[in-house]
Amino acid sequence: VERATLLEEVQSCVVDLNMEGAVAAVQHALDNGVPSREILKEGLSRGLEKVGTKFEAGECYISDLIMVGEVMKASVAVLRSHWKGEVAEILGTIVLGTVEGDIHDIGKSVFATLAENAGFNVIDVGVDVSAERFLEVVKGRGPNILGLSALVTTTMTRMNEVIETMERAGLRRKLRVIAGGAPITDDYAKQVGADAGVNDAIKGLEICKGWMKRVDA
Amino acid sequence: LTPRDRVLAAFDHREPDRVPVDMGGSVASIERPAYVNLKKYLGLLWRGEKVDGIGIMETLDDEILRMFNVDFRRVIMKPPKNWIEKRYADGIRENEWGVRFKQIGYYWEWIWYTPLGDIEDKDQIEDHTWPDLGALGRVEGLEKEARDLESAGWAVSTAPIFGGIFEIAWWLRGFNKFIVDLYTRPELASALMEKITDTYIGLYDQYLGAVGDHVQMVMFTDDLGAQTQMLVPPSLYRKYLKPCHKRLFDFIHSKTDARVFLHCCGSIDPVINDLIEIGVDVLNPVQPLAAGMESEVLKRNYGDRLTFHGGVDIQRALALGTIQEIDYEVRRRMKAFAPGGGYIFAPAHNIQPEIPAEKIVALYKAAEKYGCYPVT
Repeated sequence: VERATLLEEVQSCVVDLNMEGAVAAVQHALDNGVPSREILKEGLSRGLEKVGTKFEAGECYISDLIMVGEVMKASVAVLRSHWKGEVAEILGTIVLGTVEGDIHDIGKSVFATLAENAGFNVIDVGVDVSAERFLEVVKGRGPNILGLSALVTTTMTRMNEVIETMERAGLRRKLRVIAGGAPITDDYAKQVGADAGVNDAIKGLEICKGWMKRVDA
Repeated sequence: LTPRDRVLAAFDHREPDRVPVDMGGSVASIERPAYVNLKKYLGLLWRGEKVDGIGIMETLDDEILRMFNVDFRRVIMKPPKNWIEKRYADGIRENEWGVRFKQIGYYWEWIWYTPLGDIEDKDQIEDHTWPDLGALGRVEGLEKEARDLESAGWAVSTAPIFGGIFEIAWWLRGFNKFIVDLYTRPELASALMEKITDTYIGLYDQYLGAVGDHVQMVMFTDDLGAQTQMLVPPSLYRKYLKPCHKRLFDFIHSKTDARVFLHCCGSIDPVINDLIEIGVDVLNPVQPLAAGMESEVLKRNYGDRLTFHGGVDIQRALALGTIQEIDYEVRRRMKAFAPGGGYIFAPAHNIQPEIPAEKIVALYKAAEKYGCYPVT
């Protein structure tokens, strides 16, 4: 079987949100000798990108993003069991959490799943996270990126608190900070001292990928 | 003209003397902190008003309702007589459905307690403790209450019993898990939503058995929309949730002549025709800043078949606007929704905790100013 056809099959199962199909297609590609890294890059990730493009165009829904995250998880799990000596490419580390006073996490968990599948090491600290807790985790894990999430307009002000805490600890310069959540605009994010602000997970992922590219260069 | 005549005219798409006004019923009401300030501002004493399980005013001072020209009064179903709300550490409360809430910041939020999170088989749904339909006391005294309000000329409405079919399903199962169920385990997802529907039918049977002859509006809530789009594709709504909604609304219509009111937040334009088809008469909150929910467009597309309830922006105008901007906002929504009837004035969700009393008063004053027919 043609390698391109096998990868195409993986891709289209991801786009169709077909979990069983994707797992089978990944297995089929592996059985035919396609290297796992290629399946991830040219099959799964390409499919994910297509879903992202559809979402940006309003052609698919938040539930589709959750589902594609699950399809990716199941497919990557198959790949992982075949990673013999191949080291997975880690784009960077993201520490992620919803700020204190807020427990909303649908967008954050979509972002976490997508970022993980895109090759980030994601440390999700959870919800209702205090500035001190963020500081503790950032100190301990040394991420490249800090992701702050909020849905409620009365809690998005807490983002500033977290960023100031990082500054006081001398850690702000080592970090890129991205703010995310339905009410967040890029302007607002910059006002509170973040580097970028987004109200959707796909855009957020693109920004984080862009930052890591620049770090490489 | 009694408030009830006014409301019925609006429902029949006729223009009464003025646009009817609503306040109350857990989605068109007011959050406790804002209400406390309002009472202070108006110099009114606390009269034992009740707050619901998630911090929203359940009953309101009649003096305020009269001051704001509110045409509706509510009859609210009670918890069973021998039922005791479960309370846990950290102020966590569990209601009759087994859903837990905790106050975080201003709001009572659903927490990640998912009693049905681990079930594999639809038969396990029955093992959960559901509201006891045989429990006594839910409607004690309600018929008389409703009859009295009716004979006083008010438009009488029920209040929502609890959340929606979709909402309760994901509260019990976990959001991501329930979403994945809809794609990969439709049988389990359907069985869960059918069980919630059955439970609601049992509850509405009692509720409307008591007050059905005396109410003009029956409220139900189920959020399907986010700010920019629906949470699930319309195709999934049609396949799984719509049949449950239809079964429930058919049942309500069979028990009463009252109009069915559905609260459904956010951007939901793709399914409005479906909602009309399955018997929704009154749509709330018609959130004006959500994508595809422009008031003028909704009125043009659905105004002959739906009564709109709400519509006044609380995300920007009421939250951040000046008194003058609120005045403008009310005028704009009146102009969009009111002509030809079919509009009940209310803010497009509960008045939020930090909204100052001056603004709340300005909101209902503006309704008085711009709500008289003919609205131009």
